[in-house]
Amino acid sequence: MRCESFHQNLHEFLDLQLDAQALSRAENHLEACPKCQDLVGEFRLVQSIVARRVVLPDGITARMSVELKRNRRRSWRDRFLDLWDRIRTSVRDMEPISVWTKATAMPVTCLIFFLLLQHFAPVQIESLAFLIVSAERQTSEISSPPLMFSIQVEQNRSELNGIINAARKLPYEDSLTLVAEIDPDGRAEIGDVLEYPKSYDLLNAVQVALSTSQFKRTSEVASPVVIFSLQKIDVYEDSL
Amino acid sequence: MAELTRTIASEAFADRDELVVRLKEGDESAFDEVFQLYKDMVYTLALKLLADKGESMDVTQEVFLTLFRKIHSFRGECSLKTWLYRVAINQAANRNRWWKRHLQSRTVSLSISNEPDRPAVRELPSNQPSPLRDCYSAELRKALEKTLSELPFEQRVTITLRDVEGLAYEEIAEVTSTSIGTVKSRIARARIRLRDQLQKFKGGEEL
Repeated sequence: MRCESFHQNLHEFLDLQLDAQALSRAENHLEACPKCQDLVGEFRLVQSIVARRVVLPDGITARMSVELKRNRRRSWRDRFLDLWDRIRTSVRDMEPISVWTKATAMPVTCLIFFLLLQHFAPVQIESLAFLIVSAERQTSEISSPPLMFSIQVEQNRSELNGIINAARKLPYEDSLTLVAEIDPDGRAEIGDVLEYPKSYDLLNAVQVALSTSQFKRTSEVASPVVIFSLQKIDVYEDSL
Repeated sequence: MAELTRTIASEAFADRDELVVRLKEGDESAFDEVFQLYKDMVYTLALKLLADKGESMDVTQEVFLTLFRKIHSFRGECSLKTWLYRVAINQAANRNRWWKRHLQSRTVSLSISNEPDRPAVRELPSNQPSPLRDCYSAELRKALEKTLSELPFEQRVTITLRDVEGLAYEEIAEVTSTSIGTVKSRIARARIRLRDQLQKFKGGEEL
């Protein structure tokens, strides 16, 4: 065994934590190596000094014994004082920066909360009442026959070409969905756009097409509407 | 012989278990017994960790008060001695933290090893007992104890549990809630630093 190997397990050797085989190898090396003997001697001297035990002096033992007997049972007052002492000592032991951080955290948090409340005022009770009333009004059960069967449309090819050309010019895929109301003259007027397209040119083309198309009612309904939906899909040659 | 040792050991464990039962029942004599049995152990541990007699006495008293007041919460998952080690180490750690923050900067060391490059006392030529040699041993002990008190707290705990209390690596790992590898490295680092101090004291060459 070389000195380096011996040094690797030196502390296990000093603490008698080596197995029998390793211990035997270490002892053989130690017998033959004066340098390692000196090293072990120094560490054993250190160990012996650290290992020195002390005894609690008799006078202190007696006094402590009396104190312990007296304080073994604690009253509620003592418990409260103990708790207060713990809080006090934990604050005392904190770093000054931590104390200041904790002391300022609560007022700063309250201030931020107050400012946020000021900025975003809570909803008034009256408007809540209004919302509830309007919601009730909207959930009436009015039924009508399917509108698509009550309207016929006449469109020229040129009107449809406007939409097709606008869609072709787009370099990307796009789609739109809207609801148009039909007026008594048979013209469509866009009411709600349910899905906006990315391109406004497409929306304009659809608007022009709808306004120039002639819609004809086939049955009497109060306010006929048209749901117009369009989707432009790119088809690539290599995917065909 | 081995059989006899096993019998004595098992009887000792049975006695300790019985002691815990009596403590939980509030038996006054059991409290005295525990105090007499472990007072020096706790005091030594505290003194090694804090290097201050007054503080160590306070910690000793606190440890036994904690034991007496919280014995009902002791579930017997470890031995009473291990529990005492843990309580003592925690108490000492609290004191150590406070002392380090508030008093350390105001304390001037009167130790002989203020000048690290100059050996404080030259090695005496003879090994014969003499007043001078006793003085030398006492000074060496003081120097090493000062170095011990300057080690990081975890290293101090580990080296004390090993060299003073004679705990095995596994037991130290259990008390300090660390791995055996950590225990080994802390012991090695602490001893190397103590040996360095020994060499400085002797004025010898570094190995």
